[in-house]
Formats: sequence, C-alpha cells, structure tokens
Amino acid sequence: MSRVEVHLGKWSYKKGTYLFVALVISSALELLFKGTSSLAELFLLVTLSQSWNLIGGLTGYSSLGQVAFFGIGAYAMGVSIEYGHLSFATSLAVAAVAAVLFALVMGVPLLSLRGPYFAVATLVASLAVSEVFSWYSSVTPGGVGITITTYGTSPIMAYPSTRGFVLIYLALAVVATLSVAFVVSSPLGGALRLIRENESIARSVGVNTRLYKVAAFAASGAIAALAGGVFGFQQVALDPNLVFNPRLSLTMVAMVLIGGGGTVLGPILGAVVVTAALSVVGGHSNATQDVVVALISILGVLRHAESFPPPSGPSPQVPGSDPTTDPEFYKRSYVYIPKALRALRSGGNGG
Amino acid sequence: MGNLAIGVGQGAAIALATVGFTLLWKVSGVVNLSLGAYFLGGGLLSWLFDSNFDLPLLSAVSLAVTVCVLLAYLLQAKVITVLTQRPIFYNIVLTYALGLGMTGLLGIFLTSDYRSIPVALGTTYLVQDGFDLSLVTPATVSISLLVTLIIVLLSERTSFGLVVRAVSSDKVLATISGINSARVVAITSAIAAFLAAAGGALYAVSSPISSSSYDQMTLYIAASAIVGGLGSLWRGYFVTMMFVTLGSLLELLVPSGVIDVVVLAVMVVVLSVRFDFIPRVSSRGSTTR
Repeated sequence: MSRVEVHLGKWSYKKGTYLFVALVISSALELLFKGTSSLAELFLLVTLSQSWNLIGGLTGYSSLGQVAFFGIGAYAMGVSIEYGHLSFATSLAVAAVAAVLFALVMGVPLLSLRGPYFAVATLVASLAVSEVFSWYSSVTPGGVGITITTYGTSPIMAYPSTRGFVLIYLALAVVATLSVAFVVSSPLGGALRLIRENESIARSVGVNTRLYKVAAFAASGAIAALAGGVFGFQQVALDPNLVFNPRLSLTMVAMVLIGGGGTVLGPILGAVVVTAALSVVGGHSNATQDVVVALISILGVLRHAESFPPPSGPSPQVPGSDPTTDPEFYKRSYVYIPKALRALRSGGNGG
Repeated sequence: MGNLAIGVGQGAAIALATVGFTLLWKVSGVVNLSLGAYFLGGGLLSWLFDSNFDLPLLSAVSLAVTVCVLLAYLLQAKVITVLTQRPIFYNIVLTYALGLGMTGLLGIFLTSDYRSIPVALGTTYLVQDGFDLSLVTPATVSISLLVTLIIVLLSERTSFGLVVRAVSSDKVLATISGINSARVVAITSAIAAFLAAAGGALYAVSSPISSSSYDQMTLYIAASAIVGGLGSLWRGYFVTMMFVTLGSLLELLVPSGVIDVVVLAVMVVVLSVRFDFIPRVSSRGSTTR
C-alpha cells in the first residue's frame, strides 16, 4: 500500500480546527445518544461523499444529481430481490451494473457540458429520473414504491440487525475509500486531475478525456448505487421521494467541500461533520433537516472557496472577469500540469 | 382547454422568475438557483399576510415581495459577493443551498401544505362552456407581460439599464469608470427577487403552492433560462411558458412528470448543439460569446 498516499489537499490545521471539534462532538453523540444507527448513517455518508469525490473532486465535474445513482441502486436492489428473488449479493451487483449502464447512457451527453451547465443538467437529470420512476408503474409501482418482503412465513432473505447493517455500510465505506485512494495514486488519478485542471491540455497530450470522464462517472455512480442498494434494503419500503431526494446530492457536495475535494481523507471528515449535525436534528421534520443541510453546504462553500483567492486586479469586487488574471490559475495550471504529465508518463502519482 | 388555460397562467407566473434569473445572469454571470425560493416565498408569504393577518391582497403581496427583495439584496451584498471571481460552481451550490434553507424555514413555519390565495377573479368566468376559464388566467398573463415589458424597457432605455449593460459587458472597465459593480449586482439581485416573488404571488392566486415545490420550480426556471439562451429576457419568458403549458397539456396524455424528462432532453440537446445565442461560461466564471 505504499503507493496509496493519503492526501490532505489544502487542509490546514488552523482552518480545520472546527472539523476536529465536530469529530469529537460527533463521537460523543454517537456514544451517548444514537448508538449504532448513527454509525450506519456515518458510513453511508462516507461512501456517498467518496462517490461524489471521484467525479466532482478528482475530475472537476461537479454533479448536483448524484442522487440519481443512489436511487437507481435502491430500486435495482428492490426489484431484484422482490421480483427477481435474487440474493442480496447478486442484487447489489445488479444495482452497480444498473448504475454503470445509466452512467454510460447519460454520461456521453452530460459530460460534454462544463461548469454550471453540467451542474444544472445533472440536477435536472436527477429530477427527471425521479419522475420516470414515479410514473413508470409497471415495474416500480409508481409513486407508491416497492416494499421488499422481509418478514412473514416466507421472507425472501434474512433481514440483518442494525449492527449487521452497520458492518455492511462500514464495508462499503472502506471499499469506497480504498477505491478513491487507489485512483488518486494511480495514473488514472493523474489523468483525471489533468482533466480537472485543463481539459484542452489533457486532450492535447493524448488523454482520452471522454473515456476517462465516463469511467469516473460510472465508477462514482456504481459506488453511489451500492450505497443506495443497501439503503433500499434497509428501508424495506422504497419510493421516489425517499431515494431520489435532491437534498442528498447537496449533502454529498457539502461533505466534500467541507473536508476537501480530490483528497482521500477530506470526504470522511466532511461526512463526520454532516452526520454530527444531522444527528442533532434527527427526530425533526424534513424541513428542519433541509435547513441544516443548507447551512452545512453554505459553510462548506465558503470554507472551500478560500482556496481560490480572488485576483489582485484593479477591482477585487468584480465578478466573472478573465480567469487568467488570477495568479492561482497559473499556479494550478502551469505548475501543476507538468507534475501531472510526469506522473502520467512514469505511471506514478502526480499529486 | 382547461389544462391549456392553467398551463398558460402558471407559465406566465413562473416566467417572471425566469426573466429575473436571466437578468441576473447577464449582469453578474451568477447562476442563482435560489430564485425558486423567492418564487415560493412570494406566494406563501402573500398567502400568510392575506389569510392569517387579514391584509388586503395588494398590501399582502407588496409586503411579501418587499421581504423577498430585501433578503435578496442582503444575501447578495453580504454572502454571495464573497464568492466573486471564484469558480461558478460555488455560486450554484451556495444559491441552491440558500434557496433550500429559505424553503426549509418556510416549511418549518408554514408546513409543506399547499396554499392558494382566494380572489374574486377566480370565481368570475370568461368562458364556462365545456371548460372553465376564469379571469385569473388573463389577468396573470397580462400582469406578467406588463412587468416583463417594464423590466426590458428599464434595462434598455434608462440610465440604470446603461449601467447594468456596462457591468454586464465588462465589469473591470465598468469599475474603472467609477461604477460600483458589486452594488449594481446586488440591486439586480433584488430586481430578480422582485420578479420571482411577484411571479410566486401570481401563481398562488391561480394555483396551490407549497414549500416542497422548490426543486420543481428551480427546474423550470433554470432549464427555461438556459434553453432560452441565457441572454434574452423574452426568450426565457416564452420558453418557460412553452414548457409549463406543455407540461399541463401532457398531463392529459401521460402521467405527470414526463415534462421533466422532456425539459431535460431539450436542455441537454440545446447545450450540446451549443447554439450561438448561448454565452459560454468558463469553469471559473467568465462569460464569452
């Protein structure tokens, strides 16, 4: 595992003090009040944040519709178990395959968009997918949803205990984190970061950007779908409002922004903060949880934006001017890109 | 025909928010997804002031719109401006989160129940033969068109419009010329919020509105503005009318929600083809044509 390097990115202890405080508070809350159910939520969020990290943090394609994969995974799981009578493991595989297929179909048109267009298009896509599952009633009973039979005289399979789900979520979180760590330290990670920094240069040096982008999109989708599959099985009753909730996409973004995008450790820290905050309002209404998610997202954006100082041009208050006036642009492009290129050529880590 | 009337009325109301979205985009390059929240805020606060505080409708709407306008100005001047010249994705996430927070607060205090403002026009029918066409629809469309016309004239024929266009075309040069760009953007945000809140109030007069509709409204506003070209107020207006009316009509043929898929498909096709009228935006916020 020597090649697996834990990147702290732009993390600094000064800026991150409150995250460690949150970590301590969160841990205390876990032990005192919530017990294993909150741990399950923590590991679920770690998995999802790592999923978003692959496409948003590493590749720079900031999706606001990652929940589509989560929902597809949940429904694939539900349909496989309830109608296909497949095993839990096989159903999980079906969920991942369904997400990959969706990523391949949607990835080509969506990944041709950049910046705000990609973000808005993915948000709209997730809403559209949710609507499809709401009205396509022949397989997914529409808005009523699916109920997986886990009880009675002939349950389809044994339903794990809460502790069992914690272990399953933990395994997913470990797999997701190791996957990101592997990608970060591999030539694939170098190519993805090169795409993030300057896609034109990436193309000009021979990187098949479309292939890499779709691969990252599919991999991140598969991870989210696995989490969705387990979540769907845990919830037993699935409906579009539950598993295609756009708040979850925003939560994924917030976790990565708080912890640090394109890193291995950052999303985990972000998940800890979000879990701690949501634990406090766990018993409250969806509206209250929306407010909490919104506040966390705002904090995450403001914290993360610090890593992009405004240019020192004639007016620092002017929005939307030429990015090449930003010293950070040169720092991130012309200094960084040769490192990434060297990494690509040598097959090592370009970070 | 009843669905057509409903669609046109709702489309005219939502189109006002699209005009605000487009205007703000032109001036600041900000994709402000929180306008969906101002839309809902305008409708729900109007209902609150009208039904619970027994204010006259006009006063209730004015008060609701004023609250939204002040909030938008303050948030732009104090919060969103912090992200100036940062990657535009931050603006998107921040404004979406701000909208989510605002609609969450509306949900906490007003619940997510659907509310509508009863008006006398709603029971005065122009046509009642086969389908009911009350005066609300033509009134909504008329007010919406009039407000949009005023905004277009304001942006094209007044000195404020000249300042707005200067900031829109070159912010650095505008600032060097003595224009306070940040204030212009904040005022434009307030105008956009005014349009969205007024649209929400118009919507609540003709149809029930809920704080849980934030994503749906955001979808229509953002997608319509993008498909409309993100530069033309009238194009954004009429694309919204088209989408919402189409959705209302499609409800007769297919289950509700299909329109979202149609909207997505149209938007992706338009963006992929890259029509010339869509200004391209770099990942760090600068717009080019």
